[in-house]
Amino acid sequence: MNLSDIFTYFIVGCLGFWLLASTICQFNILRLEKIFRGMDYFSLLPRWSFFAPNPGVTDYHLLYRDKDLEDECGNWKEFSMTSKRTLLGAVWNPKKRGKKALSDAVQTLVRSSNELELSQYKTSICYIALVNFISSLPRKAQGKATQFMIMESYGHFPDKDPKMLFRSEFHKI
Amino acid sequence: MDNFLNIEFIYACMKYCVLIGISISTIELLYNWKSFQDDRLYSWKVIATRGYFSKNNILHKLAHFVLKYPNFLGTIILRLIVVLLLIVPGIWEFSQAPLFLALVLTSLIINYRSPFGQDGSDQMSTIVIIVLFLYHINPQNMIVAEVGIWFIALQSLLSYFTAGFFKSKGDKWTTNPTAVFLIFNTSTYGSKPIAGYLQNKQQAITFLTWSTVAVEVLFPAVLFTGYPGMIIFLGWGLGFHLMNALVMGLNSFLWAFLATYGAIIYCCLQLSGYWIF
Repeated sequence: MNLSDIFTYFIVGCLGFWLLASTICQFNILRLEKIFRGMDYFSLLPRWSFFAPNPGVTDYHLLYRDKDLEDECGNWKEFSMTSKRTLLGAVWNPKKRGKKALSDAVQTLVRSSNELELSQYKTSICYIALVNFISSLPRKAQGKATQFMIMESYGHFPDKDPKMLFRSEFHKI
Repeated sequence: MDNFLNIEFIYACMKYCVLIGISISTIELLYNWKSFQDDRLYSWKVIATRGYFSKNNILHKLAHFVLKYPNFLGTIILRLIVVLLLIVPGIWEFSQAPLFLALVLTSLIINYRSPFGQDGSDQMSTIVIIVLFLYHINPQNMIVAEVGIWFIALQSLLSYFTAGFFKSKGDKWTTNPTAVFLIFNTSTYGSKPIAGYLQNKQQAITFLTWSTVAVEVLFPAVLFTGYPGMIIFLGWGLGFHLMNALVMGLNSFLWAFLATYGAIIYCCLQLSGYWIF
């Protein structure tokens, strides 16, 4: 067996293992998904369950307000997490990634806040990233602290009123 | 159709489709360069708190150097240059393996740097360019070339089947078939005119919802349909991704998944040869 054969078998073995691991991670076969994903630092194991089993049928809204130097709270302002759909967006859609990132962070935080203790989710990467993001938004007047809130609404033709899902503590700006 | 039995042609189709998608997404990343600053959403100071590496080891120091702002922008610029070298004929006359290796490395770096905001098209693009890199190490190695094509085809079929399989477990996709309307009704992925058009057309909503589940679950059957049967599945897939790009703004999915269709056609034709004999 020469080097070329070893290379061939190695590549074939790696691709076979990758496909097997990808399949295991889709269906959590033998409950191995958590182990594989725990080692997947580079997102090589895909998640193919798009919009399933429960599709996202609501819109999230990220709102924030500041406390001024006299400890007075300002009004809530919304940072829009959606963008206007255009035909050009089918080819060129640069806002998509930022909006998706915000949406991922917000969804993960809402899920964590229902499952974890306050001390656990307050140190989560999503919470810190959102505080960091909200603090960096341009403001007319400098505040002392800021707070954010996540709300949920039910689309263009809603059948329910929007509801609040999460409200953060105040954080120094 | 004979071209689709030519391995070189399959890899060329795969290469150009995935590179078009990668070039768009890389320019989109550069367009959003401010979001990688330390006070923005993709702040490396925040993301680094995941702490996969011990702070004192050399890997951590190297990762920190490459991933911190503004150095990370260098990775994105390098990626764009590599894409240009690969896509414009006549600029790079040497082996393409080092260029694909650079693309693979930049993909892994971007994936690592993005704990949120990545989607299935990024994952499919990474899979395709890793296979393109392995192929270009030695294009004469027909075993690696053929296994690579089967790997891409099976990953693509796995993606459709998984999406359909899990949809079949959701009541909004099956017993209460409203999923398509409810998704189009959102501002995040939908469109007000289309949601308005569908609003009171339950039969159309049911048809769109159930047909999405059915075709996704049955998609792996494309391997056994031969030509021209495969056109039903692949035509549906193309229409599906075009609609997702137009209505939902999922532009990169079109190119990432289209890049796998050449491999699916190759595997389908290979198998249909077996059935004939």
